[in-house]
Amino acid sequence: MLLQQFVNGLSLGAVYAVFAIGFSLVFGVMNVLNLSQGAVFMWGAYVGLEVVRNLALPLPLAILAAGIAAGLLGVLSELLVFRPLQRRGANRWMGMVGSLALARILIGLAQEIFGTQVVRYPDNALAGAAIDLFGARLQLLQVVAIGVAFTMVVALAALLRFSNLGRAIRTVAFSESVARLVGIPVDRVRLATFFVSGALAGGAGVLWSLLFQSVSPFMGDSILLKGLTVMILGGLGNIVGALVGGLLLGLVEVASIVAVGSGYRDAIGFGLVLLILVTRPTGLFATRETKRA
Amino acid sequence: MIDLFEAYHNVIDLCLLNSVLAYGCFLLLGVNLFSLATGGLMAIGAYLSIWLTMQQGWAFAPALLAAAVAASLAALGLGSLVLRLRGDYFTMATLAFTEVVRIIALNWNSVTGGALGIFGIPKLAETWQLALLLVLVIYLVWAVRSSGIGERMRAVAADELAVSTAGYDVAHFKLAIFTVSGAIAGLGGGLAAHLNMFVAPGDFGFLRSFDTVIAPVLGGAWNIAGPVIGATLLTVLPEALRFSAQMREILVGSALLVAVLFLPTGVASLPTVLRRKWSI
Amino acid sequence: MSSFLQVNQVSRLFGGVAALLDVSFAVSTGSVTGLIGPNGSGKTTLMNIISGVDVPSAGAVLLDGAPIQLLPSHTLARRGVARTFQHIRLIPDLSAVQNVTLAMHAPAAGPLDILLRLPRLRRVETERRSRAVALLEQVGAGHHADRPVGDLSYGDRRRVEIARALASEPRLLLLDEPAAGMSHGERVALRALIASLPGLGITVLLVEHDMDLVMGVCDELHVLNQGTAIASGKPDAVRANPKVIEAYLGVEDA
Repeated sequence: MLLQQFVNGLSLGAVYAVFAIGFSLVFGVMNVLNLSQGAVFMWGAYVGLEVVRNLALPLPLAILAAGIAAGLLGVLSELLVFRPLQRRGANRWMGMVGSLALARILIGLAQEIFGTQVVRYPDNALAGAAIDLFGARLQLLQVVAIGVAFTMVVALAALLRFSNLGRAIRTVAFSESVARLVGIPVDRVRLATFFVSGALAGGAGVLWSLLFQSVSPFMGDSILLKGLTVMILGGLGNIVGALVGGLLLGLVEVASIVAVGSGYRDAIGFGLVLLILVTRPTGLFATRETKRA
Repeated sequence: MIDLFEAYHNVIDLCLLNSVLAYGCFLLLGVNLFSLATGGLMAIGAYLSIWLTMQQGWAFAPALLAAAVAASLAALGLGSLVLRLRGDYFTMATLAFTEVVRIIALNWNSVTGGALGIFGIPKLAETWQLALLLVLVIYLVWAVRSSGIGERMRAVAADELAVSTAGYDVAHFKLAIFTVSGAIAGLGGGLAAHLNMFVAPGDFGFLRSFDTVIAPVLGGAWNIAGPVIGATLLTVLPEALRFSAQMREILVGSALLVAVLFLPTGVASLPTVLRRKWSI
Repeated sequence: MSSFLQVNQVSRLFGGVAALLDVSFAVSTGSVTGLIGPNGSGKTTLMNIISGVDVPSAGAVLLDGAPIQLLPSHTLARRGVARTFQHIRLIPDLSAVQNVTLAMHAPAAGPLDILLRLPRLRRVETERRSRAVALLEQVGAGHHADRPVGDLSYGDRRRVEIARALASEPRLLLLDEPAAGMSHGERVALRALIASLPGLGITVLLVEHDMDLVMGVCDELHVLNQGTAIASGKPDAVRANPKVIEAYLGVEDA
């Protein structure tokens, strides 16, 4: 039983983690909250669905297509919202308003194109298949989801650590002006960052749809909140933190369903956030003044 | 004219109510605080006022007062815990607060009616009350902003250290503003509850908080007319575009996006922008 | 002369690094005391501790005999400790007068006066303004009274910041490199201004790199080097002190 719940929590957490990592990446590099990330997640799920349903292509290709489409939507949010606002010297909050507006457009488009009913991915080789391990029934789907999430994270880590793009991204995250000084094409790096973050959201969207057998235009709303929760748990802009935080949230949520019932599931993450923030306010400066004020 | 008013009565009421709420967030934006606590604080005000009018037979005015007091106490408590957090963390903490309150409301069936909500709330909120309240709130905000306190707020937003070494307890100052904003949210909650005869926890979640804080940002975060302009746009746009449910979302989103891109300092800056464009 | 400010074995550690180690000295009432030393010697850290912006890791600071090292800066400001900053901290969008009145605690309008716009509000605002203008004239920035300080020159902004510090009617004024960026003429005026302050009942602690200014206006000097106090005394004696010379060796000041 425990193993079952553990895997449940881990697979849920894996999806949270992948989504939150993308979210965190943009925040860490550009210090903005891209609130269209939830809508991008949803669009990834739909693109994957269309690929599987109408093009009858296998699931891995669907995930790839979803990732690419979602990545492009991520790029769209940079080109349409964040870059123009930065050029016009708008304050940070306008970025939130703008990306929310974009989210609404994306959700409206999805409703228009795909309809508002909840649909699901057609049955495939993974659905229903399960492994019996130590008395627990682990869905193959869950194992695959965890595996895919793991692969995405490792790929991202490798990208950031070893590739030139990764180095460029890390430099821009450290300081945009320093990056320009050393000749890094900051605009292109930003685009790449948004692409990667969108792709992660889209991939997470497909995984979610498979795990929970549902796709709807509104599935992005709650994941956005989860993403914010995970970012706080792991530290804003901290990618490893987003990974750990995501897995942790998944495990804690599943555990809380067992303990107090599903009604309060969504409150657990927020309760954790409040607890953490109140007991360990994450400040970067040691002076009293900043801590007090 | 009267017909026009009757037809759009509800929209006008909502514009007035949302404008009042927007001024609460406007005060906080003035000291660089992006708060998402409005939903949770409204919920506290709403459910208390409903309980007082429906279960305890209170008159509307005392119930509203109680709602404002309760929400400001909650704001006082919350603020003491989270105002010390750095900008984004503060925002997240207020979001967490709102969602926790909403989820508690969702599950506390005996008091809030759970997900189904509470029906049959007496419609005690009148348009003239809302209008009067809005005028009062605008006046009070204007009076504060054009005084030394307003200068202190601008100073805090620019450089907290300069203000504290000048002799002001910045934490205390922000807490006072947060408490006042809580009172406004509680008042708004009580009014909202008695406006449409029905209320449910979903009315007080992060969407409500976002819409409320985005109103002054959209309208112009430093302009006294900003909250009214933003709240009116955000209330009227979806209503005006209600002829198509799907297209409505796309059109509202597009209109907001256009407003954000062409008026990045807020819609209230439109006259200035136009003047600049046409005089050259 | 009694000591108005007493720094007792103050240390400040950041991780393993000691920005200040066992620093002790006294500032006499009504004096102009200089705190000098090469860059990185801990002068600003000490200023931050004295003004309540930072807390020492060890040691105490006594103001008029009472320990103040744990008090926050807003409390200290009310107790008569005012300061300026190395990197000027004015509010750019506010005018010079508005910046100065920011630090004025009296006269003050009450909440009722503000909300009801009672006549008292007008009187209070007029008085505050005239006092601010007088302070700005005292420091030589009176002609910029209503301009946003973001538009003013560096030297003017320094002077406005000093006016703001004086607005809170301090008994102890901490000046952190006030002459930086000033022309020769401005430095002469600054020297005269600082020299006039003890006559107004203000004790001055001055951190400066301009040796001419320091030698000309200070009654006493304390020298820091790499976090420790290495010399104290009258300016001429300190100037000749071999330890001080060694500390500054190779360091050309502007």
